Amino acid sequence: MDALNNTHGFLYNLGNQSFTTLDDPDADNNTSANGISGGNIVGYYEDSQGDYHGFLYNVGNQSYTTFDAPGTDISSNANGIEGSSIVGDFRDSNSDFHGYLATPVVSVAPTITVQPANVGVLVGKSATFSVKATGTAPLTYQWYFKSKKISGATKASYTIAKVAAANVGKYDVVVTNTHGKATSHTVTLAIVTAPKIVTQPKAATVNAGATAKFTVKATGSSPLTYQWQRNSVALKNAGNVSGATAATLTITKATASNAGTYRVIVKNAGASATSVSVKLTVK
Amino acid sequence: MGASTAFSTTRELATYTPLNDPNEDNFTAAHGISGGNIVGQYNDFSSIDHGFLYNVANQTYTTLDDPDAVGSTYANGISGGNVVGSYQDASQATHGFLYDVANQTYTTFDDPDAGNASYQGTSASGI
Repeated sequence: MDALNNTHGFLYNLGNQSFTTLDDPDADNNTSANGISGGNIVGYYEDSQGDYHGFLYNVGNQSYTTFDAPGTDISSNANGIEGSSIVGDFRDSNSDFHGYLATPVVSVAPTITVQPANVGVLVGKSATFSVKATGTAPLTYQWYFKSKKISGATKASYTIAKVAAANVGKYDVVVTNTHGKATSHTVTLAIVTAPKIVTQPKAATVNAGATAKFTVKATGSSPLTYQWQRNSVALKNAGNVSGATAATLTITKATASNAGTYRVIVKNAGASATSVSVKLTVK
Repeated sequence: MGASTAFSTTRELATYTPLNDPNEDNFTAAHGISGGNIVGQYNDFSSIDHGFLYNVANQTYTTLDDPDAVGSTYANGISGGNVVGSYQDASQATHGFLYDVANQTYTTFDDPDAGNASYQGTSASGI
């Protein structure tokens, strides 16, 4: 209660030891905060007619929502909240007071749950950006390129059928419903150069117990990734094998079980290239 | 256009359940809710206030009268299985109480600095 005998609600932050005054914007004199759960506070306020109304205050949005129980004549108070359930009391036209339990339908503004990802693609190939969002339906989508609205790009995914240099740049999407909007991270569309193997691995013959190595050299847009295969099966770095996902594959202390046909697949965001197959012979 | 964490929640109150203690005389008020239980107060035909505990699932009311109360008892808050409120003794002094729902036991709380104590609200971590 202040110097004018007006009552104000308050929110006290234990961590910061700070007080925030809560006055419903429709209140004439008095606001009282009675309960809190999660990021929501309930209470009541008095309007200019001297009537009381319940309110719900969202701490994050600093927004007040007035609600009066059905059948309220003069006063309705919200006293407690847990999750999406609110309890309180109201006065009817006979001046009788009743308690109430309100189970609101929770309407939620959009939240992006899966952000779009950067895309690298070869010229002339297709590129797709996608986003996933939650929130009260219906959700609408609008994709932007360099902060400008893309006509017709109003779905959760946006595809460019044949990428050209003019498409390179930054993209994002805004998801909207009647309760708010959410803007995605900004992501980039880049044109990449396909991997090209410029030095092929060479066949090798080693004595049992010796070390065998296969090396490949490739060009193309970074990052390039490598996956070596033996007899068309992807290798792992285990036992006497190392470099299974590097430009050079190393087999130490080779045995007869290492003999076979080896090749490597080089990839980047736009394409892949497969080397020639070469033999490892262990004598 | 950078990333935004804008988020808002609004609530459309869809379903109201009136709460009228069967022993009331035109006055019931709900003050707190926790775990499917609601506490509050009602006024009887002798104009005495009583606390109540309402179980939402079972739709049952349990009157809460502190055994040391001569006048009214008020149930103001609930957290888990604990209810807090206040009652008036024979000298009209007000005391806080803690009610253990499972054990149906009352414990009086009087602030050492208070002539009359009235506790409002509780939490699972303590009062």
